Amino acid sequence: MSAHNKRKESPVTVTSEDLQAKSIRTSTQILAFEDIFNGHWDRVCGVLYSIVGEQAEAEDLALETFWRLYNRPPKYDSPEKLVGWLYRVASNLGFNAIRARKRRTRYEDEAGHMEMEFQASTDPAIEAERTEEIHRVRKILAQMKPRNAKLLVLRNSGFSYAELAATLGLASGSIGTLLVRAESDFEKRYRQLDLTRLEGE
Amino acid sequence: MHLSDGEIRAYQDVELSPDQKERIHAHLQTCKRCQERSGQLTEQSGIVTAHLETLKPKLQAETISLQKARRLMENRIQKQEDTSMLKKIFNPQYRLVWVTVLVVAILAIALAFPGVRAVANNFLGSFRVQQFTVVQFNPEELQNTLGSSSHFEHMLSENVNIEDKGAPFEVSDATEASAMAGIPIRLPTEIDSRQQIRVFPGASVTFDIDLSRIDMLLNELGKGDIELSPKLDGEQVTMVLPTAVVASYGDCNFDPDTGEAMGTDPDAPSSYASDCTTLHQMISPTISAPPELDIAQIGESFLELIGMTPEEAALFSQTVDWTTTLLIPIPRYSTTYQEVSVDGVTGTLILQKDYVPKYMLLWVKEGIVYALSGPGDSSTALAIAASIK
Repeated sequence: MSAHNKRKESPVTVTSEDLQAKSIRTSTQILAFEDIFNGHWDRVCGVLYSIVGEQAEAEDLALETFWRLYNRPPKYDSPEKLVGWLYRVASNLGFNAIRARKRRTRYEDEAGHMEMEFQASTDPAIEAERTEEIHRVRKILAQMKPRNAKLLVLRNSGFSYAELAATLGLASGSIGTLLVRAESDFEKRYRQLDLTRLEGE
Repeated sequence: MHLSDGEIRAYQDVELSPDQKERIHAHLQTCKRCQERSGQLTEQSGIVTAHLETLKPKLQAETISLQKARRLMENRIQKQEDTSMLKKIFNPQYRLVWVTVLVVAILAIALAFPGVRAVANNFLGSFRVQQFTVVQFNPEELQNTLGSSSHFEHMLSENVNIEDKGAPFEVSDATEASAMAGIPIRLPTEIDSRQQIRVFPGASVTFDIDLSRIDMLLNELGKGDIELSPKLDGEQVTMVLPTAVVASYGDCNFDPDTGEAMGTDPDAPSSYASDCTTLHQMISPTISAPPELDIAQIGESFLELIGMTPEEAALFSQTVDWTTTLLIPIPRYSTTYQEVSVDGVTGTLILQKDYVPKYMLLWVKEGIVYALSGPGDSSTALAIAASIK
């Protein structure tokens, strides 16, 4: 009976040429999607890795980020703002992913479960300590105000004040102040966590 | 005057202009208090940086080559182009459209109910939305019913075709919008924030009736005992959505990815309090369906699907003229609705008791559907509606 069902024609295959041909328009110039992709892939992946801590997931989210640029590019008047948008989308996706994960693995988390991602190392005791530290840092970032967490991660990935401002939609003059505030918040939470941990033992 | 933390920090990060740098350098030479603060900030920054360093990938080898990344990207685009239609249905930009799409999708399920009471004449074949009726439902239940159904998902992606006539674009004023939409566009005067007018080119939504699939879906929903009219197989239900114009006011973030908007005060209360008022207007959509289709029957089935008993649905159905009414399902909890007098006609006002109270006011006048929504209560809604010129 489904003979009546009109199916879509089989889709056209996407090739390298499509990546080359795709152009992203700002209101003042046209950029090639390919150039943005080639120029920012590694860094977008790096930022996402810092946030999610798993290479495969970071790549997945990076692909999603570039897909959004490809599919529905925002119209900004400068390439800087466009790149800012790219990292804003990436960091939003990253933090959303770990928040979703936090909800999923709450039980495991409370039971002290840890991902053993760095088994390649020599000394298991050092590795266990490192893994626990990563776990703690991520937990704190997930609890922080999203903007502050993004500031810290992006700054740590080597973003300049101007880049931070473009990515997070802030005035570059406020970055110094906000960084100090974010760091102070991070440190306070870290000490708090240490305290609860010690009490728990 | 002492230095602010931000100034000290920017100085340490070498992010100042030469002038600023010199000024702060000179101050630090002489001011003991600022020197101390500078030391504290360096220490704090060092501690936090050390913690964050652990997040960086340890082995460079873990990153993939650009070439491989490109291949992944090509695959990704490929995959997404196949499914983006489905995604589009759930895009918040299409919220108003979504409601109508849902109705069309529901037609599919309802179609299968027994006794497609043959309607003698063709007048049901095409109808136009002239009014709204609100019906409350429990969103979780609906999600349980449909969310677990793979047939429903397949039906949406394969039997429902959306053909849109282009991406939304911005226009500068009501005159331009009127020309695009072919109706006189009216705008509220009682709002004092940034106005943006966007035109959403129309779309047509076609649903291909595939009886075998509907059969499977019904079985899945536990309604497998239903007889189907073979006449309907292969027929189409089409909804034509004319060009819509959306005027927005205030802080309207149409793209969920952009996060905090440029230039907003970073420490203002959280963006939950989205300060966005919108007015949609378009020519009332039309639906064409095969004459064998019993719209009232579909309506009742739809009501059952969203949680009414068959008796309740039948009773409700008697109060509705299905040929002219678009049913708006609203969540049972935290939402109320009432009939109000607006723009010289009777409209429906839906109020949501959210973190920030929101309203949606719907009415149809002279063949044009209006939907006004934003933060506030009934008096806000009515005041803005009254100011529409």
